[in-house]
Amino acid sequence: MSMWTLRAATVFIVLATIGHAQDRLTEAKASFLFNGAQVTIARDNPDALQRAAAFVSTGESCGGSCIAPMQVAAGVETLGESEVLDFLVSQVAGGQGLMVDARAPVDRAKGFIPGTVSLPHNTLAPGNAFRDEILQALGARAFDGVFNFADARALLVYDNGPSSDDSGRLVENLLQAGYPPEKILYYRGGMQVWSLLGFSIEEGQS
Amino acid sequence: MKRPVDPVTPIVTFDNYVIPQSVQRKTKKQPVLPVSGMMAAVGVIGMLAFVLGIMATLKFAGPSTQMANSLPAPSVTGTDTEPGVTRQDSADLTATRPALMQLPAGGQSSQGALDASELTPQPATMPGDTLQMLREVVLAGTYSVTYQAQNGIDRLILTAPDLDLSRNVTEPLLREAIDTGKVEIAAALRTVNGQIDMDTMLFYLVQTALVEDGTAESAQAAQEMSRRAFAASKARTRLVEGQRVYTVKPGDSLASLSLQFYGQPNAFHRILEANRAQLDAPDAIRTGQQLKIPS
Repeated sequence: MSMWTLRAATVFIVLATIGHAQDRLTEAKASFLFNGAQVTIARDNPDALQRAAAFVSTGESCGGSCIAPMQVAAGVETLGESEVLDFLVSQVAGGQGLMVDARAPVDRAKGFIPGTVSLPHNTLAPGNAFRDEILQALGARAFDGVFNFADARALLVYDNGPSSDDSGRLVENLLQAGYPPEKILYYRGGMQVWSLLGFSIEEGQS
Repeated sequence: MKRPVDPVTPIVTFDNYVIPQSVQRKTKKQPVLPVSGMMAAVGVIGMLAFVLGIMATLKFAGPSTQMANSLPAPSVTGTDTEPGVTRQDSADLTATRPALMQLPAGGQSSQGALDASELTPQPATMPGDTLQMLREVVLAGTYSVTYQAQNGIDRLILTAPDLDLSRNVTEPLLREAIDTGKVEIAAALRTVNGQIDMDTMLFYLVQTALVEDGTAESAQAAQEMSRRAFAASKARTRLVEGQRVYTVKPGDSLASLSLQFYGQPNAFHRILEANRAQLDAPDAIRTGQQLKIPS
């Protein structure tokens, strides 16, 4: 009798654990409108490993093997893949947010996350002549050399991945321009983790 | 039998043994306090009881000590001051206390009069003085423009650390300015509920005073004030066909929108012109209106 009770309890605990684990995992899928086109993201890339190889960088800016910190700057939140999908569906589709690629166009041409726009980190460097125009394009209001960021969009910044500092530089330039840190987010995984997980990747010019 | 000395292997003693780097790098273990969960809970409860006890003591002891201090004051009725008495004599209020106690009740006391004048707040300074002082503060740049949300009403307010800009100080000044016709944009300063937008009027009065100065320094200070107000605004718009659109909220006035989007309250004509269909007068602004904000 007690043997059966014990078995029943064990089965119950195992089932409960499975149920709990399933609650934590979310479906790796997103579909949203971006620039008038339907964008669909799924985790179904069959040759994920080969794709990932393209994003594993060799020579990095620090002159050796480097690694990005978990937090890119004070007040800037770091996101994982499921939060990135949430951001794309809730913020980017509604026009309140943008997911921006901090890499140079050469790197972006190898593949990028669908529904994102190119914003190379050096375009927002303090000396760049187009900096003010770009800030206004991101929603900032300008007056007499000062900016108001009340209308500025939330920005989710990404790059090649943890071995790259492009995001770090873009975030630094944004903060220096006065962009509020609570409107900046960081996807640390970048193309390296994104491609390895088999998520959809777009190629070409955009 | 004695072991023969090995000529190859060096003799390692504690004196010459060097701890390898990898071992030295080991992180120090945090000393763990031998506190069980039960003990921690009891400790926390004890601390709470202690703090509550102190608060209760202060609560009961507070008013009684204040009363004891203020008791002698009503017995003093003197109003005239003696020129011989200086402020320093009564700088320390408690020092004059024994002298006050010895005075006969109802007696004319010069010390008491001085004491009373120190205790009662000075009447509000002349409105003109406050505006003058505010002008100086803005010229010196020792002020800030902050965003405040009160009872669902958002506003930009001027704050200066060494200047009292609370309502009871500024309101007489602003009322006087309206009464004497100094405020030419009065209609634009009407909020959606018909009240006068005091906070924005203060910006307006200081800015116009600076512009009227006509000096380069004043013009620069007025410009800087505009920049700070513009940057501090948290007013949000949305884009409709490339045009910024703002939804009017309670507490807004046309001048306050002008201050937030153009840095000065008297640029409201730009909003008025762009929204002629909805606004036939500056004070026709109502909550929920969708106003175009030309850039």
